[in-house]
Amino acid sequence: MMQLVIIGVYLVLLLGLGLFSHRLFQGTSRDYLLASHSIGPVLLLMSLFGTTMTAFALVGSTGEAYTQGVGVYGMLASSSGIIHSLCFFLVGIKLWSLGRRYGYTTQVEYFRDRLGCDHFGLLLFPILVGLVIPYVLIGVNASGTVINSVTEGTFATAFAAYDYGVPNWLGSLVICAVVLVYVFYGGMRGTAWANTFQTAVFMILGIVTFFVIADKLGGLQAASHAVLEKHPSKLMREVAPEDYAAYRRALAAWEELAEYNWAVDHQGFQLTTAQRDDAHGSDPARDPGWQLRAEAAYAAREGLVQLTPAQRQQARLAQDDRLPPADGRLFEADDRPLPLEHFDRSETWGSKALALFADKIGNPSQPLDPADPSAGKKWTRKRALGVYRATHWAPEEPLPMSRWRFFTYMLVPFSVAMFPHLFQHWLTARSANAFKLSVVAYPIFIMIVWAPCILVGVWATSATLHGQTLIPPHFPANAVLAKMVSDLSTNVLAGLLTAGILAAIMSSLDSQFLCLGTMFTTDIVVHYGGKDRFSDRQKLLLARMFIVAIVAVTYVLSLAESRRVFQMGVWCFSGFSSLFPLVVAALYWRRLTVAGAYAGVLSAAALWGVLFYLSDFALHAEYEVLGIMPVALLMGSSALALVIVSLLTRPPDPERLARFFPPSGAG
Amino acid sequence: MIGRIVVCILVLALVALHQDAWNWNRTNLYLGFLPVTLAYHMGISVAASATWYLATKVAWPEHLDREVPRQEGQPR
Repeated sequence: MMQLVIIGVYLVLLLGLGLFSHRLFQGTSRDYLLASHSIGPVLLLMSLFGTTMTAFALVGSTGEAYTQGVGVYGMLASSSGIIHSLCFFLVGIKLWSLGRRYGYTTQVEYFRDRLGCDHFGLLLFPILVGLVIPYVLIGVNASGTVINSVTEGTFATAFAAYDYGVPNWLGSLVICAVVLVYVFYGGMRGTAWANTFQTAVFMILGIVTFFVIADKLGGLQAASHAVLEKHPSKLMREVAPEDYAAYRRALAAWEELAEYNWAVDHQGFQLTTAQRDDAHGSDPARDPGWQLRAEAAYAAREGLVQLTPAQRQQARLAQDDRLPPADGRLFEADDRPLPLEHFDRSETWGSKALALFADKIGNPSQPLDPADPSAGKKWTRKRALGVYRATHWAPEEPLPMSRWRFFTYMLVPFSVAMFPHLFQHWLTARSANAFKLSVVAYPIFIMIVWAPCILVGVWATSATLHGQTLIPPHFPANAVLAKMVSDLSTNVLAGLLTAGILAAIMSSLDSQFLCLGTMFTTDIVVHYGGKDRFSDRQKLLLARMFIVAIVAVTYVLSLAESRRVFQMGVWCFSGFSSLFPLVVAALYWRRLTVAGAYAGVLSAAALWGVLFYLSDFALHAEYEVLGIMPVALLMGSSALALVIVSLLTRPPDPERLARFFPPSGAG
Repeated sequence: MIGRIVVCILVLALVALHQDAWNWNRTNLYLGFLPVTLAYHMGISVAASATWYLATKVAWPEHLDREVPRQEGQPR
């Protein structure tokens, strides 16, 4: 309940800030959408940083470090420190200058004017909106998940299906409503103020959480030394021989379990009572499912289970909840068993898991056995699913980080150059000099947020509490931070950190909602309706109405499909990165033609569609082409098509070019 | 012009140094707790910040502020 109160107080504070910023509102559409170009260096830095750092900066970075180790910092954070500032320096300042000079509010306005082609907007608009929407959905879904996770057990009888916590749909609804209120009233100024406040909140709370967790793990050195002893692979980007040996042992034990279970289910195999007693006595482990594992090990040791290769493969599929193939094919051409990932996982595994642990599931604030307090609390549904995965599914193979993947991942941060919501934030700057602080401080800010989260994620791989492993195998990576905080800190700190995570989410959502509303108003209604047809007051009203509609639509979309949106993140960023050659050429290359711009965008869009299809619509999370990230191909094809077609077509009109490349040397 | 060239060289150097193949299989802990890979890339972050600080001093497009229309009551 304490956490719910802290979240509630935080949201009220935020609403207050939004309403306060409304008092500074000048009443014009330019003030509402661009804060009258009045934002200074500090507010610009904080609002830009808050906008680009989503929940992924806290929750995702911890989860990725837990899965892949410390190399994640280099892959995602230090590369962003270089590239984001580069984009602000090369693209942001120039676009700000042109936007101020010619009165742009959106990217589509700029490209229409720069290329002298109205129809180009019709191509770019749906692409930009289509890439922003999944990005927004990630935030909306994440907010519901976070609130539900930290409020488990809050209600005595209500919301059993949500572990007696605030339902995800309700949490998302509240967050959308709060963001809507302060964006609706405060516009860009309210968004900038709210982002500044929220950025400060999640940076400070992240650092506090880091030191509290370190202290609980015995200090910084003890926490890292535990990883060095148990999972040295997490401290580098290769797989340590001892980690691989541990995996081989775990896999062998799991295969014994799979074959034993299959023999029991399909061949009527049974150990005698004496054999079972013998098996249980020889295994000291007492984790969930220990009896079965002990019996399986005993049966294997004594050679009691004999299966054919096909039966063995079927046993592995059944144990891992994989569906048997429709064509009956279980082996490669050279008779090696097909890898488990080749087979789809059954969608019924969840209900199977919940049925298996039905007697343990309940309100996590109540004791499992009132007569035996040592049995602990009742299990949440999430915990039951986690225990099922850890005790049933095959162990995860430790994999080294690919050098090409590491290298080409550096292209993903180029996406910021084409984020529509960043474009709008850039235009709020009071002067070009206001960008200086952002350009310089960005890499350090990223380090302050990411480095502690990376260490916490790595520590989680080896952390123990009262002699028990804190994070079981197959634990959902995005829940690692919440688990570490809830188990290693107080309710108050957990509530505050949740507020920090929500701050990171909302500081992106507000800008995205505002920019989508701006784009629909400016690029569609006002552009096609006629600039003189609407008064400034009407434009303001239109923008607000569109923002309300967009919040409503994205909220409804978030209810419909949540399974794939997290995996969509990198694909959205890759899509934006593929438009980087377009914006750089528009700003710095006089020879860019309309046909070249079309070719660049269409080639990127077509290739994006093909690769997205081949990645099984983002379900294949580690999808690569020839060992490199798809973004490298997308950017390459876009740049190549843009340059070749531009050179093959008639140069642009010199008069138009003179507006964008003045002789003073600004270009 | 020289300033811009220097900044370009430094940024390219940062990109090259970012590909630290020599740290791929090292597990040393600096100060007893900081993995060498993480420490190295935190160093890259600090170096990036220093490079961009230099860029604001020697390669900043100062003319841009002069080219935009001044708003009423806006400080320059």
